Amino acid sequence: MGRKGAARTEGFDRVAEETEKVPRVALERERGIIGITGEKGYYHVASMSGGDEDRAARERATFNALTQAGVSVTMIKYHAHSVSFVLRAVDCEKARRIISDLGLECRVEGPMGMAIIHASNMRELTGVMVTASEALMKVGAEIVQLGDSHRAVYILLPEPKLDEAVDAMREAFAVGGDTA
Amino acid sequence: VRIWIQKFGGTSVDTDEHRLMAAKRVADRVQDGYSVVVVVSAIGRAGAPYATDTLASELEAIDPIVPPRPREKDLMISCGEIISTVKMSHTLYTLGVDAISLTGGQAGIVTDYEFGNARILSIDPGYIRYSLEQGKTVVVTGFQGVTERPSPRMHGAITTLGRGGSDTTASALAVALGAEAVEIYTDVDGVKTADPKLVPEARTLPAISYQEVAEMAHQGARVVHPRAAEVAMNHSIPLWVRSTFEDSPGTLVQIPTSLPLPRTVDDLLVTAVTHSSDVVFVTFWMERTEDRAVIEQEIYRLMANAQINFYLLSFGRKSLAFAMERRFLRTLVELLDALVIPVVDGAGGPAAGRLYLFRVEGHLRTFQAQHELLSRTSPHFAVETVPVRIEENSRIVSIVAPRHRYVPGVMARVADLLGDAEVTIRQIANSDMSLSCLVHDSDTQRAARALHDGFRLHLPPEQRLASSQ
Repeated sequence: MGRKGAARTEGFDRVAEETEKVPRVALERERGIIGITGEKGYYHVASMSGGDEDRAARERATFNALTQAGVSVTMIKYHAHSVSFVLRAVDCEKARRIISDLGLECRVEGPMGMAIIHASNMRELTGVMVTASEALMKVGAEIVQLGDSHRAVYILLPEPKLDEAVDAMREAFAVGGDTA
Repeated sequence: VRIWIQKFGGTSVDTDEHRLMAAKRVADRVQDGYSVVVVVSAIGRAGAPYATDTLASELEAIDPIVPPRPREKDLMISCGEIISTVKMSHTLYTLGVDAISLTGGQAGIVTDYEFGNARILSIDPGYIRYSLEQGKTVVVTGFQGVTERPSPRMHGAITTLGRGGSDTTASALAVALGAEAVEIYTDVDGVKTADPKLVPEARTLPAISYQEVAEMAHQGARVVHPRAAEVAMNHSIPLWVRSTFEDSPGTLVQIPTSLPLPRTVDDLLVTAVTHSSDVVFVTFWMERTEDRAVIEQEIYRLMANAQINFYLLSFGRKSLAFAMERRFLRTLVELLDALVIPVVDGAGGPAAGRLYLFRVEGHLRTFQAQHELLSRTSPHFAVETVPVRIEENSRIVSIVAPRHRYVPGVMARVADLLGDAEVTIRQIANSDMSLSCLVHDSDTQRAARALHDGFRLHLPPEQRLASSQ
């Protein structure tokens, strides 16, 4: 190697050596399921808003009345003849009364538990529901409702089955209770 | 040494004129005294000669029945960024900037083996540091890396990083080099409160949090990719989104500023309204409920085997529904058309049970043939029909609002705004950061405008808060 080449390598070796001293940082985190957690104290409510053309108006009235009463709802789902949602136990009776006062039939199921599957990017993962539903079937936990975002799948199921369901899914996905 | 990272997307380098404008941005930063590392995407979008999709189609065209192997495909499509990088480096050289181009592997970017969607494991920035120390500006190919050497005598394989790969390259290099900031240059002047093609009043956000920008991208906005935002967030690297073609301040992506929690929905600061690309909404009807869990599981299994992702999942008393990207529609119909799922009753005695036969709306011929055959040949099994409705032409319109869970009434407000705009909500989903509505494609613009106006996104946050007092 000529002198110029040797000098070039020498310079590179020095920088490489210095770079080696800099601790490596974790860059992109591992993809996949991070953990499973469970929350208790939910109720599943269905307001029978009907399938006719006034349905949207009835649903708006329902949501507005719930807002006026300070009731927060989540996991809202539209069905052929009803709209369903999930709320905290403390708001359950209030919601039932509001819906009845609007002249709508109200169905309440509960108490419910929410099992939450946390992932780094749920929308890039396939097969999550296969593993989850297999695990839930094994312990006889019925899925009442599902919600999803790019970070999590939310599974509403009867509260007495929640702990067993969370354990079964943690085993199936080989994870613990991490959320991030 | 003060290091600055600049990333240029495909539309910033798609013509000589645009590339020159991009190169001048680099030259300006060098003039400011920074050591600059530039990351570039392939030239142009689908259809352009060296765009990623074009290069992939070159391989696919050899035999449409034999798909290219992922490793070979990655090697092929990585050429797009290499061409773009060398052209940028030479353009800089013509401007008097001493630039050098490096591939992802030369830049020390090491990934896992997931060809087509590889994850950056580590970066050994020795070559970049050395080049910067020599006073050079370093131009690195975006979107690619190399696997670890299997042995000292073998090189790793070239991998590509998948969606948002060049953004992620820029963020990861910033972390590895301890850069002051990353600038993501694109064809818009920053992150907008909505797509200005749908909502002309959309405002450019001066600042936004990493989480918000990631949520916007997840909900369909074409901004910084969530992977890039996450890497930058974990190391508190400021990200700027700026226009290559306009001199405007752009949007700073940073740690969120602390704001008081909203008391009512009027205090809620919605960050942006986004919309997805085309989706289809699929509903399965199941009259018999006792076998429901088995049927659902088989549906999930089929979808997983076909690598189809679905979302907006919803259970009814006798139904299961979800949305999925339109590009999977043909595969879905092929999977479900006259599909049979047998459910056999308990052991002992003659085999008996139920055969669940799927009837996809608009695909009756195979269903009828299958039904006749099953009824004739399986006398001990009842044939149960599972009707499948596929609603095409749907999109998901979302509000991104980090604190929406703290106040009741967000859904009521959304339902009111969309109702007044005569938009029918087909389904809803919410997460910690957003609330999404499935609407008909033809309602997308009206829905986006109604939400943008209703949550007063044309006003800066302080004006919105002042007027709600």
